[in-house]
Amino acid sequence: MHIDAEAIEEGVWKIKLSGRMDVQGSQEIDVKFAGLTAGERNAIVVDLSGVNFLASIGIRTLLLNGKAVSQRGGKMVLLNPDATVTKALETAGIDTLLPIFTDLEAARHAVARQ
Amino acid sequence: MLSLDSRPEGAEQRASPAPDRPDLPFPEAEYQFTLQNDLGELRRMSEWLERCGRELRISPRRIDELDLCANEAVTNVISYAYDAPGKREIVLRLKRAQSAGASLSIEDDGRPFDPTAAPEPVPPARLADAVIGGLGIKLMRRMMARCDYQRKGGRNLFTLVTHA
Repeated sequence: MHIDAEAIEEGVWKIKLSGRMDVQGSQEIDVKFAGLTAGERNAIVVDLSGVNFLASIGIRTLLLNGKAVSQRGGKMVLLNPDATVTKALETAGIDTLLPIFTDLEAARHAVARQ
Repeated sequence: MLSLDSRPEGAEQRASPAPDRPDLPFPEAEYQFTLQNDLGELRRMSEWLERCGRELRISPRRIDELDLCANEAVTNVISYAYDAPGKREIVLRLKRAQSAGASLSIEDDGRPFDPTAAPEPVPPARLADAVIGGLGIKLMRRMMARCDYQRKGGRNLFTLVTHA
């Protein structure tokens, strides 16, 4: 898997994941992902448009990072998962904890400090 | 390891696969695949599932769902089924189900475990309370039309059946 981060405005980060988020894929990005959601980054949009497979191990990775951000008073949301990935998120009941957006502007607004 | 894997039984009577001929009856072949108890085998399993699923003319959506559920079930077997270290084999069999969906059975010789009886995690109301674990079982039960379990001759036989 690949993982990249860019600041889309002051204090708001977009983390883009791509590839197959199975056991192997999740292991490949776990450490870097945790590093990117640590520290002062409290407003995070995770772009899932490049992820074509999401297993429970990948959902676990998303949850752990979302939890870390939320424990510091921040917010993490998901952007543009494909149909298969959306179904996995909804079936696991995770879409209520990590909200899904299909529009970057709306996602940015949801995580930015009011 | 060997190339006998994934050769359909009865291949000699079978016409070549025709993914573009929905008017033909579904292929009756059963495909078999053996993997070792190593998480590094999961990608090879997924490739097999996709290739044979196409040959059986299972829809891409059902193949995706089966791929996810097979990843969950086999990850659980590899991670929790064995008391002692060492090489073990897990056998998968894929065929068309009578319901017009697909059926995938997973057989292992690990300790008895019935995924259909395991408790599901309670959905947390807040991210802070989210318990991380048990999601694989939940995904399998919700995504499949049926999950069956049998313990036979010291082996676990777990069968996933997709929707039509």
